[in-house]
Amino acid sequence: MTLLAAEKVGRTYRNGGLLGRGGDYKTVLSEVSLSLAAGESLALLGPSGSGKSTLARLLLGLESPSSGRITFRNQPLQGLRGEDWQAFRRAVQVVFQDSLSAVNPRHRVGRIVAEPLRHLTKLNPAQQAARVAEVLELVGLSPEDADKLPGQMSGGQVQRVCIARALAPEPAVIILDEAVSNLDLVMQIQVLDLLASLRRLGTAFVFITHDLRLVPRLCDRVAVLEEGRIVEEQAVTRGFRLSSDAGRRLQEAVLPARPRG
Amino acid sequence: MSAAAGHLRVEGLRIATRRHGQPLELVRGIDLDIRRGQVTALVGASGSGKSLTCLALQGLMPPGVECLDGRVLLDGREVAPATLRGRQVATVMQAPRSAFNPVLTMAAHARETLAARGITGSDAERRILAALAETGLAEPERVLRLHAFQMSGGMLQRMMLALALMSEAPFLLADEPTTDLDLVLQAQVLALIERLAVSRDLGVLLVTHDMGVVARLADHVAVMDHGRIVETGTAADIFASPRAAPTRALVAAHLALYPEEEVAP
Ligand SMILES: Nc1ncnc2c1ncn2[C@@H]1O[C@H](COP(=O)(O)OP(=O)(O)O)[C@@H](O)[C@H]1O
Ligand SMILES: Nc1ncnc2c1ncn2[C@@H]1O[C@H](COP(=O)(O)OP(=O)(O)O)[C@@H](O)[C@H]1O
Ligand SMILES: [Mg+2]
Ligand SMILES: [Mg+2]
Repeated sequence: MTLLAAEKVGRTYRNGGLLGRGGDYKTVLSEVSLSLAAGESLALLGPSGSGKSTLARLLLGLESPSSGRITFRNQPLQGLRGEDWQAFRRAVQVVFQDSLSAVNPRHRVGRIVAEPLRHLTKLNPAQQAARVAEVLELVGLSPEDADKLPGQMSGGQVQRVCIARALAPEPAVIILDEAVSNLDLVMQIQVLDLLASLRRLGTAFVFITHDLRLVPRLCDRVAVLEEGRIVEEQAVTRGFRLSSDAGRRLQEAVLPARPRG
Repeated sequence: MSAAAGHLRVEGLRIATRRHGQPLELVRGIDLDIRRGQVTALVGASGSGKSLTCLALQGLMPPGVECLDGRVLLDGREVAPATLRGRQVATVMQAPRSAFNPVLTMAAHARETLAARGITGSDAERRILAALAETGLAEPERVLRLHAFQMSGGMLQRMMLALALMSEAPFLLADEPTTDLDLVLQAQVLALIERLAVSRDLGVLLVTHDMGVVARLADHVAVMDHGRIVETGTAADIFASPRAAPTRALVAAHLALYPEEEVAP
C-alpha cells in the first residue's frame, strides 16, 4: 500500500534577501514523483542544495507544493481536515539534523518526548508517561532519563531523545533529514542500526543523507535528487552502483576503506 | 623559507574544567607531534578532547576551561603558543562562518592577513588573487566582495585555506574541516588540503571522527579517547593492526560500512 507520495511536485520560492533582485523566482523542485510503501525504507540522496529538505517539508505538510500534490494513503494533503489531518500529523514524524535546537532546553526529556502524545493522541497523563518510558528504552536510553534536561546529555543522547519523540505516537513513517550527520561516525552507525531494528515494528523511513556509505544499513531503495529533479531510483543491493551523473559523483566521493598501500 | 620551523610539538598537555564544583580533567597529559610535509590525523569519538587540544596549540581556551600544564615546542624550543597564530600556525575550523568577522568582506580579511606580515598594496592584491586561484575559488573578484553570510560552507572552507596560504604559516590545524560539507564537497576540500600539504610542504594536523578521512589523507595517526592519546602510528599500521581498544572500535565500525571490502588481512 502506498503510504506517502509526491505526484509531479514543483516548488518555487520568490528570491528575497540581499542578493535577490525582487520579483524573480527560483525553482527548487520540478516534477518530483516519488512514492513510499508502508514499512519501506527509502534513502533520498543528493548534493547540498539539491532540494532534499524542501521535499521533506512538503512530505510533512509543513509547506505546500507550488504545483502537483502530496498524498497520504492516496488522499491529497490539501483535502485533509479534522481527524484525518490529525491522523496524518501523527503518522508522519520527523527528526532534523540539529537536535539541540529542536528541543526546548528548559523542558525535561519526559515532557519533550510526550509532546506529540499531548497534541496528537487521547492518552491520559499516566498512559503518556508509560509510553515515554517505553520509547526511551527503545532508543537505548533509560526511563530515568525522563527527568534530565537536554543540557545534561551528550549530543548523541539528545538525538536519541528526538528519535524517541518521533517514535512516541507510533508513526507509520519517520523522515530523517540529515538526522545523524552531527554525530560522530561510530554514533551514526549505532543510531542507524537502532532505527533499522525498529523496522520490525513496521515503521517506514525516508533517510535523507549525502553519505552513501550509510544507506545499506537502513534502506531498501535510493532516489537521487539533482537540481530539484529525481534523476535516478534504484534498489539497494550488495555492491550497487549509481548511474546518474549526480549519483556517480556521490559514489566517487565515498571515502576509501583503507589507506592506499 | 630558510629558517622555517619543521616540527611542532605539544608535551604534557593537561586541560581541566569544574563540574558540580569538582575539578574534571578533559585532556589528561598528552604529547603530540606535527611534522612538515606530513598529515597527522587526531582521531577519536566526539568529546574525547580533540578540539581542546587544537585550541591549546593556538594558545586559546574556551571560557570555563583551564590549561593546567603543557609546553609547546617549535623545533625543540619552548614557545608561547599565542605567538604562533597566523605566523607559524594557520587554522581551518568546522564552522567557518564563525571564524569570519560578519561585517568584513573577504577582501578585508585577506588584506588584514597580509598586513599582519607587512605586505600591502599591489603586492598584497597579487598574492590574494594567487591564493584564491590556488584554492579553486572561481570568480575571485566577486568572491572578494562577499561577506561570510553570502557564501556556502564549501566556499568558506576554501577561503579559510586561501587565508592560510597567504599567511605562509608552515603548519595548518584543520579541526573537522569537512564535517559540515556534503560528501562531494568534502572530497574536493580533502584533495585540496592534500595538494597544498605537498606543494607548500605544510605540517597538517587533521582532526576528525571519520576513519574514512584518515584513510584518505593521513600519514600519521594519533587516537584520542577520554582525554588521552591511546595509540599512535602510521595510517597503514593503525588500519592493519590496531592495538588499543578505542582504536579497534573505530576501525571496526568504519570497516563495517564497506561490506564489499574483504575482511582484514
Ligand atoms: N524558504 C526558501 N526561500 C528561498 N529559497 C529556498 C528556501 N528554502 C530552500 N531554498 C533553496 O532551495 C534550494 C534547495 O534547498 P534544500 O531543500 O535545503 O536543499 P538540500 O536539503 O538538498 O541541501 C537551495 O538553493 C536553497 O537555497
Ligand atoms: N567550554 C567548555 N566548558 C566545559 N567543558 C567543555 C568545554 N569545551 C569542551 N568541554 C568538554 O571537554 C570535552 C572535550 O571536548 P572537545 O575537545 O570539544 O571534544 P572533541 O573535539 O573531541 O569532540 C568534552 O567532554 C566537552 O564537553
Ligand atoms: Mg537539507
Ligand atoms: Mg571537536
